Amino acid sequence: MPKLSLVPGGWDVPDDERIKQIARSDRRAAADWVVRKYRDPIFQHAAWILKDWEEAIDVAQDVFIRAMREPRFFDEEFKMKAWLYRVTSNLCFNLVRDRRRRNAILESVPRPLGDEPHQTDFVFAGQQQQQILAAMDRLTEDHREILMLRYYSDLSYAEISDTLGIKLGTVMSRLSRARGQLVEVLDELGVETS
Amino acid sequence: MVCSEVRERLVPWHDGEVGPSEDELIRGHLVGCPSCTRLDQRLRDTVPAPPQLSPPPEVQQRLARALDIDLLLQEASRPAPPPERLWMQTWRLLTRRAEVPVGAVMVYALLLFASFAWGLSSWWALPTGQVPLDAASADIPADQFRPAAFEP
Repeated sequence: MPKLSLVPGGWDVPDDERIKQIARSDRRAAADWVVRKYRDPIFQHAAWILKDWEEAIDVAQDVFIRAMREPRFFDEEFKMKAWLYRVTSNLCFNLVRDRRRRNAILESVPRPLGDEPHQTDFVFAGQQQQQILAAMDRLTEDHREILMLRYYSDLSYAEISDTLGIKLGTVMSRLSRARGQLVEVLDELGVETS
Repeated sequence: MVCSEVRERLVPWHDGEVGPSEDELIRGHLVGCPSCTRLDQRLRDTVPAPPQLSPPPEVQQRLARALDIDLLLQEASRPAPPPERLWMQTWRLLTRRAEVPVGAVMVYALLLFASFAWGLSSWWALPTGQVPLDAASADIPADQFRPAAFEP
């Protein structure tokens, strides 16, 4: 899992339960910890889906504003990590769908060169991962989402279950189908394995 | 365990998410199934790894400004925008995984319903027990009726 390290280190990150305890006496301090703890993972998750810095920043900001408006956010039973990822995914995929519709409408209009100044710059360990990312773009939204949650954001099966609101067994079968579909696309593209 | 069951469990098996009994069944199956063994190897070779992000300094600065806690709390204290209306939610749901133009499907469904409703209303309009007559023979008494072919 790559670290962005956008936030200066030097402090111990409290776990979610500790943050909830802090919220009982100081909601502002708890909100501050949530942002410090989750800003990089949420920004990265948004950037991986959207591949656009500016949109990823806007989504990250929107997610944390919604979190602070959510009255149950610091409740004992509330799964804040799953909630943050769910809202991020929903906002990002809504943007992707809007973008797709907009592009379909503007398809005939020629786009000037360099018209997308905010495109993300991904750095890969090797060419094969670049091919895997290209293949992931051809998967269905559900499959792409679950692969990103598992392999990019490193969520456990239980966390994916909470994030997507599906049973653990469904996480396993959907993940298997997604990986199987990925292999099929890579085969179609003629990508050799290492 | 049959191939389809093993294939559904290979990824959770790699991730250590299956129990000991299932682990044994999968291992046993792979020993005697070259096809599943090939898929197993292919899956191991194509595990997605997260691409590293390298946002330029101005993006990092903008992110830091956008996620300033005071700014976020100030924004959060403003009244939330009204929730999405039901028809918008329905539209999003309809268009979520649409592979065909939704508008065309809806127009087709509307026409289908209209033609069905028109047919139904015509059937209901008939008086009970009356059989629709042919328009050409409706006003001719039965004893005077002669088919055209009888004329010399």
